[in-house]
Amino acid sequence: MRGQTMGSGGGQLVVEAAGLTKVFSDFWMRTTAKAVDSIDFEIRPREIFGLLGPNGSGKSTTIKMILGLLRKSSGKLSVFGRDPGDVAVKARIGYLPEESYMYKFLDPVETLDYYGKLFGLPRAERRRRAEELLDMVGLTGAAHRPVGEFSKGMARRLGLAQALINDPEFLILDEPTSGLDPIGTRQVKDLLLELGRRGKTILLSSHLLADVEDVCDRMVILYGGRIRAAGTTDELLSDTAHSVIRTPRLKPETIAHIDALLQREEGVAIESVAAPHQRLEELFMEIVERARQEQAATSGALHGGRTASFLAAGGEERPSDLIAQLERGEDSVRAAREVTSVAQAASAAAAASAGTEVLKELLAKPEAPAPTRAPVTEAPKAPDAVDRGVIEDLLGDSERSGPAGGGR
Amino acid sequence: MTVAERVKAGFAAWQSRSSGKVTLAALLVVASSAVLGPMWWSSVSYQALQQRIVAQLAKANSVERTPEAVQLIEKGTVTVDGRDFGGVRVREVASQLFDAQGRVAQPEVLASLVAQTEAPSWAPLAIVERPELPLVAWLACVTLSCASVWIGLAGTLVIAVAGTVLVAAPFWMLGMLAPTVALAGAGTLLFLFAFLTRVVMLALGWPTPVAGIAQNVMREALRQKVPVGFIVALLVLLPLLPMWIDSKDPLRYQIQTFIDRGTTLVYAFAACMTLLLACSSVAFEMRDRQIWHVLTKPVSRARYVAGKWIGICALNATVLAVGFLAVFVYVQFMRTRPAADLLDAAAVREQVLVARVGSFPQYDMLDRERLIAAVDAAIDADATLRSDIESGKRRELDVRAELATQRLAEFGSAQRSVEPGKGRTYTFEGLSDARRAGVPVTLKFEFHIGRDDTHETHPVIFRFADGSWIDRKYVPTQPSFVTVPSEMISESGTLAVEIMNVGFDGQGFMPGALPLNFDDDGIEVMHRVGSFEANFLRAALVDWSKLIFLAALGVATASVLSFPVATLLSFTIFLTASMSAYLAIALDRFSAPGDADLGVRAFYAFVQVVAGGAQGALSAFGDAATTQDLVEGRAIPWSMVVKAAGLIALLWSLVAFGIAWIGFSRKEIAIYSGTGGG
Repeated sequence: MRGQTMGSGGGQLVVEAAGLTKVFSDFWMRTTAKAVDSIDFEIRPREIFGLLGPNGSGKSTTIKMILGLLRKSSGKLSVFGRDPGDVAVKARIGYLPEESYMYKFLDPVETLDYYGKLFGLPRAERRRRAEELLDMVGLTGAAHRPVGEFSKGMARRLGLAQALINDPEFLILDEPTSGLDPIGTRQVKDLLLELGRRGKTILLSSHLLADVEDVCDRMVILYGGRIRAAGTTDELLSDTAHSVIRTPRLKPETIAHIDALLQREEGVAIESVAAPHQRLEELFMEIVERARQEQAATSGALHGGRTASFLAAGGEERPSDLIAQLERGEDSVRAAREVTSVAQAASAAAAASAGTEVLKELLAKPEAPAPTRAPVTEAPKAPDAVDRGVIEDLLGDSERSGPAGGGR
Repeated sequence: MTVAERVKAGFAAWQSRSSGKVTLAALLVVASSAVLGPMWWSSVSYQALQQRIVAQLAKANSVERTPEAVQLIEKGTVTVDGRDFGGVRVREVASQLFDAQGRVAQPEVLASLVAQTEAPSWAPLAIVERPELPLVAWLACVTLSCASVWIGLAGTLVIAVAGTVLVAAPFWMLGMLAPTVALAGAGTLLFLFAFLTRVVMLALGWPTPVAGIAQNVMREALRQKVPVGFIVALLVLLPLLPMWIDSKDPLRYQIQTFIDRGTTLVYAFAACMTLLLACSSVAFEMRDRQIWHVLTKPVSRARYVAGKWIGICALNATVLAVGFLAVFVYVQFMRTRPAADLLDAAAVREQVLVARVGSFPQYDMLDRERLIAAVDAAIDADATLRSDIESGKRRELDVRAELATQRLAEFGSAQRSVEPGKGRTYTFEGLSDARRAGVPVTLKFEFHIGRDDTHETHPVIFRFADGSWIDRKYVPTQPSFVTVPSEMISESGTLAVEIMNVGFDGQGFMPGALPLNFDDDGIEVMHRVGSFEANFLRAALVDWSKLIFLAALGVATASVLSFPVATLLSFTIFLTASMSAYLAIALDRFSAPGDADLGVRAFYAFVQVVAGGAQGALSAFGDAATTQDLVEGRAIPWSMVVKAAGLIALLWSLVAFGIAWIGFSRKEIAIYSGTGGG
């Protein structure tokens, strides 16, 4: 897939990379690593774009080049049509690195106040935004505790809040759910979808497949510094070889009738029949919600509040915007967030590129329908029969599956 | 939330309301008045008593032997409203207090000595003697209190005052004044530091990246162990310093010692803290990657560096202001302590707590022809030398240079030597200002004689152009002083002094035992050109200029180097700059032995070039040393302040940033976090 270019939509591109390469050298200028190898991609306005890949695949290096923290070795890279090193561009960006590198001697209020000041926000505005963001990420109760005392998850929440302090047009999140508990993970994913609906452009980098799958419109899959697959989520994940019918629990005789009917009408037999069971995530959420309703005490982060109003107000879509988008042909982006049927997915998959072969290999024997683009807190999903542990092992999740370099 | 946290939060909330502010301010004004009001009343009463004593002293005349003069000489007392004041201490010095006409020479000074027994023991004499001081102190307290309430520091103020009173009260009740003052000083300094810090933080409250970064540096310094350790140690040690000064020493030495130790301590602590903070703030921020957050905001690298620099400079200014203010206030307190004698009191007034300029005598110069003739004569007279030159054992150029240096030294020494029973006249120029102002000048001298035994004293007489003379006894190698009336200076601003190696025993003259001699700066005439207060301010400004450069140095090195390397390099430059004068002397004497081979000579030459270059480049830093000038009461000219600010604080800082910018502007802030290959 080297040199593959994502198809372009309308409007000014937020990020445009062509032949982007990053080579690290030692003191004697000898090449020590080619972290990014001639990749081409675009990020369009108002889309949630995923960078998926195992550790060491070049995701963070790509992000750091977009942010101007690293310089490209060759190729072309522009952000909002300008050089990534341009200071003015950074006023439109919010960034959450893969670890929350916060000042341990500050408390969350001071932290947000400091970063707000770097954007030149007036005092009253900084105070208002800090309050709303802390409420949003569930840190109001720890607003005056030194960050040095925070757990990794709490620091992560604060990191997310600081990335939003300037109400950015373009949000770059590197492993945003790393270190978060399931509640925090779900809240972050909800928030990303919410921000996406408000018109933010989001670049999400992760090696956790569920993160990317749940929220991204388009994605590229990196391995060894190169793009191995690219496309919309539906294009990449659709399984055209199977159909799934969901009904209340059936009697064995009924199943036998259906099987007979299928053999008669379609010439195929039922491959498997299973009773869906609740996902662990859903069970966990139910237990926590019950405890919360019983007002059990906790010293950690609280349940996040509503999305900060300044984010909502700043990114609210107006009818005229939507019309303009339609006129520019950006409806494909928006449509990607609608709930899609299996049939639609199947037809879309027919046009999928050869790059989907990689995913097909990874997603062997799918038994669930393609994921919807609805917020993850909405109706429970069908049982996810895909063995994510196996997939993530294949993708080299070092935290759970041994040496990260095994796939190199 | 604990009870203490709840109380604190409640107090803060109350303080933020207008009613709370007004109530707190009123309470603090009442408290200030309750403490300083009685002091002011005592001071006014004491002042009135002194004035009545001065009126009585005006009637005393030792020539006419008025009853007041007789009572003063015989009993050491003065009668006011039917009550006697004074005593033995006054009687011991009374006979020296009358001038040639028999009047009391300095009635105010004597009145102060007479009335001292009436000063209330519960208030510092420094305040009691000057009624304006309690008023100024009250105004300062009220202003500080109201400002503290306004900026939300009332709680800190109350805790600081209560804590200080609790800790210092037992010592005060036991009559231990020194620890009481030390502890009260420490409490005051800590609060003052908190107050100034808050003010600076508010001043840096502008919503700009540079101000934000600067403010964050201040926060970092106040919450990290190392800088806080430096600051607290300084603010606690400073008030304790007077306890390590021998109170039996003459007052001038006590004050000089305190100024020396106090300003050195403040500067040394501030300098070390500056370098460590500057290096750690930048290097650790890169290591711990907080800089990723900063430089991905609309903040250029130049602004980032500027913010760090300004923040450290602001902290420096705060530390230096509190430290120097503490030294200054305590010196003002010390100057009101009783002096050992009237000479000691005069020395404090005229030689220490002043700003004076000095003038060295004009010496004859050995011209080129005379020097060459002397060298030729020396070679002609030494057959061995000639033989060495002719045989090539020694180079003629080296021999001539060595002889010329010797002859010049001998010529200078000869002019600074006086044989027993003889005299030699020295001329000092440029004293027109002193003559016009009519202020006496001080002749400072430091003589060597024989084996320089500091347990001996030797006589010397200074004779002036009009034939008048002053005899003194001096201790070899110890600086001594003679006050010379301005009338001795000619209209052209020249003072001629004949130094006579002669003694006077009250009956007649006798020659000194041995030849006396002195170094080229061994005699100097000094005259007053300004006040100690202004001089002290200039010293603080010069020191701050140096700290500004050190902050730039630390930030610049840490922006391209790791913390250990940056710290090592910064401290090396700082020490080299501070000791440049000593380094110059050492380099003068650092030369390869005459018979050294080429390799050794090359090594010496290399060291000379490197160390000489560093010394030459950084000598302005070492030259801008103010402590010794303050101690000796020498004026620190505004030109030094301007030079320090322009050259060291601004130009050198820009050079340091410029050099570092070559690396920092190209530096990749992030690192490779992958696993290689690819």
